Amino acid sequence: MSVSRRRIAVAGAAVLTAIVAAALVLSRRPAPAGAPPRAARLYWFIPDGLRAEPDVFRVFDWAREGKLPNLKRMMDQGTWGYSVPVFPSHTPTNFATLLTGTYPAVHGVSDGPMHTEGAPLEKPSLGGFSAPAKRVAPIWKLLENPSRRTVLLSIPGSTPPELDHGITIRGRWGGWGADTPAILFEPSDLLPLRSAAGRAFRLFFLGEKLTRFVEKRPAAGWGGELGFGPPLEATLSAHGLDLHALVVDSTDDGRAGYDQVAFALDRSRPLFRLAPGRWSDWIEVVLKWRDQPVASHMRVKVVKLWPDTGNFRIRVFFDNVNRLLAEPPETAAQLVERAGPMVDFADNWPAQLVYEDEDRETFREEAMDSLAWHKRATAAVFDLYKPDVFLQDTYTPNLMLESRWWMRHVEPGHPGRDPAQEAGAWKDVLEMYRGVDAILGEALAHAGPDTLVAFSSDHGVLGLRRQVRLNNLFARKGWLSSRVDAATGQPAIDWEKTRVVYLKMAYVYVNPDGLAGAWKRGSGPAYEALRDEVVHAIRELRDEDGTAPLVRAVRREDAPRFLDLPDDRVGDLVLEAAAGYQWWEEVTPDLALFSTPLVSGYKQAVDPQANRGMWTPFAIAGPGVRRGFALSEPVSHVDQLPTILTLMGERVPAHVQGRVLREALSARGETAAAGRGAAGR
Amino acid sequence: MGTSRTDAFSKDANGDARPSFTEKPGAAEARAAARNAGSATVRFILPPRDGAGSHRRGSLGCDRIVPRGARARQRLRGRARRPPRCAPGARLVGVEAKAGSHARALPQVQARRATATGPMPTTVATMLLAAATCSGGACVRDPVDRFAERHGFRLDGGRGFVPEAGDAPQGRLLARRAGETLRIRVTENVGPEQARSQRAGHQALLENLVEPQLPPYPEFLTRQTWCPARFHPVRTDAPAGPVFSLPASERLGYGVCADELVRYRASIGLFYCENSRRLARIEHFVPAGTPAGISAVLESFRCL
Repeated sequence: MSVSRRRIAVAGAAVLTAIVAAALVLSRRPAPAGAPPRAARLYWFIPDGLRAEPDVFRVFDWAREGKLPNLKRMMDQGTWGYSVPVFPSHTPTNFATLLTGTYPAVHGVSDGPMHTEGAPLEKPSLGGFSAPAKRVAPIWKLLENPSRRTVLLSIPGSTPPELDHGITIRGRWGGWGADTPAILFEPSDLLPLRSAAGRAFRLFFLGEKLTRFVEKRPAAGWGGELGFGPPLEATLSAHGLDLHALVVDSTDDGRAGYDQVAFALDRSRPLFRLAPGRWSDWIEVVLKWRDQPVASHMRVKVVKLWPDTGNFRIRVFFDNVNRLLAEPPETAAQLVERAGPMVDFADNWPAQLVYEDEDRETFREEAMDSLAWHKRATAAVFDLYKPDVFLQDTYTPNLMLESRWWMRHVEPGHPGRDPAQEAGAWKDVLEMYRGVDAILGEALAHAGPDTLVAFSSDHGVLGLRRQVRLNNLFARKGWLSSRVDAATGQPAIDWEKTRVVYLKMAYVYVNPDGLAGAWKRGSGPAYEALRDEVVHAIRELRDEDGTAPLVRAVRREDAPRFLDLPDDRVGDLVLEAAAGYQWWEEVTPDLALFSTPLVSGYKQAVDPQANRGMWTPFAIAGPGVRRGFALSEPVSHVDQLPTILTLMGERVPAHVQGRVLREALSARGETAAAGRGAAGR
Repeated sequence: MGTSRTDAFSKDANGDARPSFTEKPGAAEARAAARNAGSATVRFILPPRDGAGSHRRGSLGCDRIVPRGARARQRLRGRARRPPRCAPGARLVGVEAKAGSHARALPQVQARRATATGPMPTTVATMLLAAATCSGGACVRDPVDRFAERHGFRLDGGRGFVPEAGDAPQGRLLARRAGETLRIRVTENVGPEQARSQRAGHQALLENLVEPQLPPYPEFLTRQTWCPARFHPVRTDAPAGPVFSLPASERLGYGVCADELVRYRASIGLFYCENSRRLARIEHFVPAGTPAGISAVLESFRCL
């Protein structure tokens, strides 16, 4: 090759390289001003229970201070502010509100468990977390078309799956899928201690046993080292799997001191041995669900070991996703291969990691693991499926802020506050917020310039001080009758003799003719008189310090007008609670009206307008969004969907009640809004 | 349950299909008119072969087609603007099946039949044949037929469904036909044991939806869900495997336990074709209130 030809070739290669490099650089930059204003893709991250308000959980200040760098990026590149949930201010209702752009009166999700006429009141017949419960289409159906790939990851209300073409991974409490929650195991010696510790413990006694009491006995038939004291063993059975535990004294010091636990699926071949405070690695297991084998993973932690007795508190955590919790089923294995076994849920609901001091660290580890998993999963979903629409949730913020250990120390004025623990609690809470921020960062790193990125939450969390046993009040008044259930030893409602009952989360059911059998709503003068009496009795309630727990009682027929609730999916009375007070179903022999719970946060049945602790963050960035703009007033949850649809160039359905946040739109976004005729909404 | 048999068809000098069974008078003319009008579908009304109540329905298609890639290449080379789908020398073939067990036809299908034939005897089901029209080797075929054939099965009862616009992901189809919806998802490269496991798992998922469960936010009184028996899945057996019938919501979701949410009655089957190692999930939704019974669409599933 001649010199001149070589020069030409070199120059050509350089030009080609420059073109490729320029293309790569340009592909990462925001679309130029002349580009179409619409966003082609959507990533919407809705962590559950992520409180954000200007007073205590000052997330935007934290972002400016460099603690949440990815939220800061969203603030710089987009529009941000606070968003206000709807009553009754908890997860199913507010996810439905965010995802449909309507109030509960339209979308119909007034609660988690809901009751319908004709069904017995003692058993909810409608699940607010179930996808079909929504009376109008959520965003994934509004945006779905065959060419659009949609992925829903851990979204409440997304199951049973209703996507025609997309991927649904693990909804929450929609009654669908082989859920295999983590289980705590303790020897039955500890049962009396736990029963005395709190009512929340007894709750799972009546439902799924999330803490299980097992027989502790002298060990036999084990292979390997048995230690120096008399070894003890127990069989930990969950989800069709028998895990054997061997409690040993590993030190030859002449004193009884149990300090390790060995685990095995086959006693002759122990798998691993753990000291207290240590997690095992994940191991592959096959679980059973409804007689179906379910390939899964498991890891174990000895939360606490009592050296003198060999009593133990062992947590067995199971992979939170499997082929029977994903649609299509094969996506579960794909995700686990990329992101590892799923840690979606820290602790349980109801909370179990609330009894021993060691539970706090176990909770924190699970919480951080769950956020780390979701960060890996974010990358995996973008890489594997290249979604056009990707909605993601993590339940960890809600669980952490509701747990026993943190909210009481960070919320000013909480009666359970210990100033000595405040700094440590804030450190953990900020670590959790940073974990959430890291997930957002992973999404921002993968989102293209045509992607609209939205960041919000369903509700905040308030400090919980007292629970109000309304059914004890009704029992005192003679409106409710209970008896001790021989099977459980717990009081149970005698429905034949009950005319008034409180059922979760905010509803009182009244019928002078009785509430047994198929429920029929009452009417007539006797009904009205009894309902008035009930309101009067609740209004008279006072806590020991004189606080009235009731803010207002709204009659069923007024619920659409005053609370935007559907009048056919609520009780005869809707009760709004004062901040710090939670309505509670429990009936106790002593008929006490108030109690102090172990957990320290909650959100149900308080007015989100009046309690800023219920507010959430809202940040949005991408094509058509005004950059670096702070919303001067909090927006409503119903406004988020129409704004997102407009920015994507989609039609906003007529039933949507929110407004397009025009102040959040850039000039290009306005063009998109005008193009869809949404500007006037 | 229906039985199936493959009949051969011949073509006349004009390329018209000439079925080897007896056509209702006028059917050939109707088919020709439809072809001239550009329609892909011709309805045939066929008497029972043996006159003893053995009613038939069927479809037509090419026994050999030009692969899609080859057609695309022909287009690119400018050899043909619309390259023929039927391979040179291909014959039209048809499948017919007894229809006696399909007496519970879907309302709109019944209406269509009535339009074609006039009032139908209630004891004798009439035939519906959605035929391909081939001329000079070019066939315009039913999209569900095409999808099914591409994935190694036949679904003759799926004729007339119109797929939604757009490029659905590989192995998926959503199609509608006057109030009915057909949703298909095909999984490739599935071994027999895996297929068995997926079918069993799917059944367990459906049954679990209506079982008493711990509700969301359980508490002392709220601790078990309620779903009356009328909302539970009902199992029937189709030739290709079990079919579950249950209510579905407006958005084609399951787990509905309240009358106000029921919009459709769904029939679901997971059918496995061992030869092609494909597992097909066929879901057929008809408006709520349609008399219960096995779906003719699912019952028509056959592995190729």
